[in-house]
Amino acid sequence: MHKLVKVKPWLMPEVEHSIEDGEYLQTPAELDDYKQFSMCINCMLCYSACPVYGLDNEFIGPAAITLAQRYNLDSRDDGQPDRLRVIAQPEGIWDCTFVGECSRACPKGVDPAAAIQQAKIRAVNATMMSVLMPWSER
Amino acid sequence: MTSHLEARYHRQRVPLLWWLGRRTYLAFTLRELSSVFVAWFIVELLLLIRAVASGPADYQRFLDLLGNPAMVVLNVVTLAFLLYHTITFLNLTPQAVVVKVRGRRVPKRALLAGMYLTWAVVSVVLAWLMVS
Repeated sequence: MHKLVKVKPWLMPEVEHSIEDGEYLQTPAELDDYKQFSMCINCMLCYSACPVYGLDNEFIGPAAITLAQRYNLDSRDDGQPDRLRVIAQPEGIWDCTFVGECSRACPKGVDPAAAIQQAKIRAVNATMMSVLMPWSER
Repeated sequence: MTSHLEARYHRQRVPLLWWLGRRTYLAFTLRELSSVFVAWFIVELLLLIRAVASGPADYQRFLDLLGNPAMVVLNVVTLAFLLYHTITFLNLTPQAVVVKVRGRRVPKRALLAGMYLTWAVVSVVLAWLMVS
């Protein structure tokens, strides 16, 4: 369970609103981007099903990466660079070989395997952007 | 609380043949293994190009080598693994890639249909180029 906290699963907006400024607004389409990944109930069945985790328990695991992806996809959040520093490691997303058993085991239809592959693409994009346009990094 | 050291020593060992335990594990392992045959196919293709570039005699020698029964068996197995690799790759892609058009997510089935259609069109064009 301590691995779930490592990915900083909370909103990290670049500019924090004060309470007087009201809520962070979001459209239904923006909610749809991450809603599926927010359905995780932390049952950790995906860890039990994952053969990679069985072989190497240093792997951060499906639920933690899904949780990171849930916040990375949230339009109210700007914490992706911080989370990528945790998950874009050899023991993070790159340990996953896309067996897909985590998604079969998930009782809530969260599809952690999809979240991990999408996180890999995000990590590659972020790396490419930092190489091609270093000034765009915050 | 269990210390890191204790957790390490209490770790349950995974049997060597864990991948035979479930059909999905076996399917995954075969998909990983198929990469070896993809690599072999690329090497064979490069050798073919080299033989063509070296002239008719070398090309004929290469064709004779490919006609060897052992090579035929190897290439039939390679073809089976390449098809398995391609089909599983295409089937998994909509899970990994999110495509949006005008702000709306393209359904997984539509993405899959598009990829299979592209594969079919490219195959037909290549076959036509080889025949004509």
